[in-house]
Amino acid sequence: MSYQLILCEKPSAAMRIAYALGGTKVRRERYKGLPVFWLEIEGKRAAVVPALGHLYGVQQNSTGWSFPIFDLRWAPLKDRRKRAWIGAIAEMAKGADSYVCACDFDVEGSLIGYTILRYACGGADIKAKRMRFSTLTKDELRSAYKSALGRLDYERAYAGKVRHEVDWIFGVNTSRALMDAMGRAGGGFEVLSAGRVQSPTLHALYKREVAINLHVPDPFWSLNNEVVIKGARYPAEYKVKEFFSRKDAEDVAERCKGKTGRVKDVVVRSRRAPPPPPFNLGDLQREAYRVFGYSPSKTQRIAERLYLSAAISYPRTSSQKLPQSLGLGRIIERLGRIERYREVARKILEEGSIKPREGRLTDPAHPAIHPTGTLPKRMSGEEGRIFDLIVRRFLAAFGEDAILEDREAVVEANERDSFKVRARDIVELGWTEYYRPYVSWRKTGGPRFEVNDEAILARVDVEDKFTSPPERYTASKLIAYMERQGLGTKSTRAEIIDNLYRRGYIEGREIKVTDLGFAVVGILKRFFPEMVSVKMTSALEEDMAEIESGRRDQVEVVLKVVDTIKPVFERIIEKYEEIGEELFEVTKRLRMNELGPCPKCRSGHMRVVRSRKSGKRFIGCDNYPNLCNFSFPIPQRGKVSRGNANCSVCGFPVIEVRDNWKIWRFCVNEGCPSNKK
Amino acid sequence: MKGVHQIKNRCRICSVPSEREFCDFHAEAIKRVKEHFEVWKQRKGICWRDYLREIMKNEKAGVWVKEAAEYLIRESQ
Repeated sequence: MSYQLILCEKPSAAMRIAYALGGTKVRRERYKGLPVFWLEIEGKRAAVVPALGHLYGVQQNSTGWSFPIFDLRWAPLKDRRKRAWIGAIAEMAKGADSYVCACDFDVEGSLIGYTILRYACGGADIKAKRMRFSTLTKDELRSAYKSALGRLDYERAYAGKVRHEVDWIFGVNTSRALMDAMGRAGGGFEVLSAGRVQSPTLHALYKREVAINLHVPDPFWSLNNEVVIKGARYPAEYKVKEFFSRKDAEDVAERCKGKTGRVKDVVVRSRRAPPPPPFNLGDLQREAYRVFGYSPSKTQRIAERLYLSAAISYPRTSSQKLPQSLGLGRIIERLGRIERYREVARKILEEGSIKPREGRLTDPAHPAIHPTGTLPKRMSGEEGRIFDLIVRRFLAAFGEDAILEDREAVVEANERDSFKVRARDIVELGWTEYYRPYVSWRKTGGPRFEVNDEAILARVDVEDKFTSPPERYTASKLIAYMERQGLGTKSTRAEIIDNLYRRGYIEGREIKVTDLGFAVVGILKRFFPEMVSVKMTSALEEDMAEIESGRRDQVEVVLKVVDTIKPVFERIIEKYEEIGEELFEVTKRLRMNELGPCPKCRSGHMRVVRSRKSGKRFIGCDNYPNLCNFSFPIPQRGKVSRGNANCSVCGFPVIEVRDNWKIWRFCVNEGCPSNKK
Repeated sequence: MKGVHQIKNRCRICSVPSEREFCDFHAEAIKRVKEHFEVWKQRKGICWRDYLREIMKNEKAGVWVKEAAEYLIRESQ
């Protein structure tokens, strides 16, 4: 008896979809390792099967090593489990008479469904329907099944397909060029990577690092002032913010300090602060970073887990809209059943009209991130925090504007000198009450300034200052930069930043470009300037958005990329020797600098050496054998690097060896007591 | 192909191979240190050597700028 094959993206989503569509009569079994959920929908048998994310990827079509290479094909990924699941899905597809793609409704989800249906299910993509949903709740899944699109969303799948193909062309060719050039220069094999989005992002960080490293601070002086009016103290601003001579600043301080002036002018402005819009992915990542210090990728992972447990809607969205069709009243009502949201939910429902404040940004596939009203049975501490942030931000969108009162007074100390005093009162808390503890405004009401009030200049201090370098990016600021420049997509940005950390190109919470990062950008800038250009990659993002909206043909975009990039790579071949030499120098320098100067002779550098006799590795000095015989034993496995600080006991350098999660730290002074612990 | 690497000039500050006396970054740092001296002289009435010392210990000065200042002090000795 034939059945309908419903394909999902992940096992956890498959289970939710199966139970939503089949109720309690779902039979679970394993077919050649693949979990299969058997159920009946309106008297018809159906099998819900999951993928494991992408089962297919881009590979070289021909065999052998060549450069540049544009000949690619989609093939099963090498992972053994994924290959086994492809086999099982292919077998299952043979017995099916209809197909439904129920992968996540976004570019990657559509591509996963398309590649499996096309390559594993013998071209079943042309017969398949597409379920579209933003949450994994029972009601929405049932309605998505009933109103499934009669065909796959090819535009979205093609946009994803082009992204993977273009990234492969860029990545493989650049890496091959770098490694081949290095090999020809006698530098051996070194893994250096560059990527279509990764490289312009690294370049932006590099430019910031250069500006910081080249900053020459200039001296200036400013006044730090405090004024007392009606017994209350206020910071005050002198009319000149920066003095270029200390004497000028001191003269003002001398004229004004301790003197009593008068309030001359008072301006009161009332201002409304509307609620922030509900979260899209970028906003959520930034807010979670501000509030909890979570990296963007961590926030994304947690949000995805909450989505899979049906607690929130699909998180990979750009939208700041909450359409009424989501059943907003019902969601608030359900949230009201949870103790900590009861009071806020009651207030919103009592207001009568349930109209959220929305942002400007939209997304064709999904609304803003919002709670479904379901509280998962189990949540980790981190999941609980992100869930609470999303719920409170969602509720805040229904709040009233907060009302602020800004007061500004001009205090005249004498005929020449005047100061501005600013105070702000919060008159109405509005939405901020719903968004606690993530904003902690309190109602305030200081004494009112009035014209002719007495103002004592209690403090007028001269401060020495210097101009500051530009601020470093944090992961959250970098995401905002990437959004502005159109680098990557909402789903890929966090992962790209993670990759830069993993490859050792950047480090620190306030991002610093490492020597390796500098070296890579230096070479790319010189030999592949197109790779670091924001213009080229953001133009490509626009092309892909056009494919997704059906205004552009996928093949045309890939051919355009090949036409643009082919001459670049061909030009590179002529410069192989030059690139190789530079790479050789850079990697040699990096290896030398990695472990620091030799603690024994001071003129050489420590490096990892392999014994010709035993084949074992140890740390030696590069002045061996002529000037220095320093050596130090190290574990035979793991990445060797220099520790951040010197030994606290003897002051010698500390070496770190990392093997997966294990870290050994050694002081290179063999006699140091810290090594005997 | 080992041994084909030509012996180039090296930056006098960081020893990176360079066609000129300094690598691009340190050349720019030296240029900026020299340019900003005028500002410091006007605002603080400071001499060249004291200016360089101030730059070296200023926490807002960039790494290459500090290295350049250190080099210029060494050179002037």
